Amino acid sequence: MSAEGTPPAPDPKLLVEKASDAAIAARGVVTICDVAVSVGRRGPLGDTRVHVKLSLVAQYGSRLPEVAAEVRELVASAVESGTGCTVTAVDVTVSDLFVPGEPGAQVGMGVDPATGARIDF
Amino acid sequence: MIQHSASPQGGAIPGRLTYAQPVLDKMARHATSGIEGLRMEPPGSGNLLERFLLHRLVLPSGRRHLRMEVYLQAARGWQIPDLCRRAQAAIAEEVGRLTHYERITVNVHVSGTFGPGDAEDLL
Repeated sequence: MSAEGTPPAPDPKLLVEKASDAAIAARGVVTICDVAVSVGRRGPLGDTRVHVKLSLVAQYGSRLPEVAAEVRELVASAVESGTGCTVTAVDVTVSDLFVPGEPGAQVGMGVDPATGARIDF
Repeated sequence: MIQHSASPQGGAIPGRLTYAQPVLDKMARHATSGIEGLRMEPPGSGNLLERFLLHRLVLPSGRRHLRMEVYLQAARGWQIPDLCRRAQAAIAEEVGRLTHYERITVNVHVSGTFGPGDAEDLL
């Protein structure tokens, strides 16, 4: 495919925003701490490949493999439908667990300390 | 940051799943909270050199195998081996329930004892 026929590479900020917005919607996710994307070379069909790495705080009691699987599905779906890129992998780091009512439980990081409800920001 | 990582179980989208040390610490603390006669040490306490050396050994030993180092104190008058076995079983069950690890080794380090006259819960 010629260079004229390939779509422009997406803005990394847009990819991060899409991934973050999608991941926060997964069950058991309290807040997203960090998102990084690596935009790879175009594949044989002219697609841009994206590797997403994100870290999050999860609700205590959630089965973390299931949380990660849902995050991967949501992130891949959002990025692919919103940008046309192909998501090759989504690496998930669970950086902490949120226990409602626990002293010092992530106050100010997108969580209502009284109820444990998520506050999007 | 010490991390434990492994590949995910199944799923259409590949990727690594990694747990930071505070995640495992909270699981261990929660699992042992109902065991009378012991209490967990707060993170960062104890012999710093020993903890550093032990933490150096806490590396992912396999995709399905996790080895944890847990520090606790036992109440005076209790059978310490029995407390340790109960702590090991409770932690392994809790971590196994919440993570994907199929084999979990819990090494318990008893750093001291406490009694009724000592300070209340460390955490």
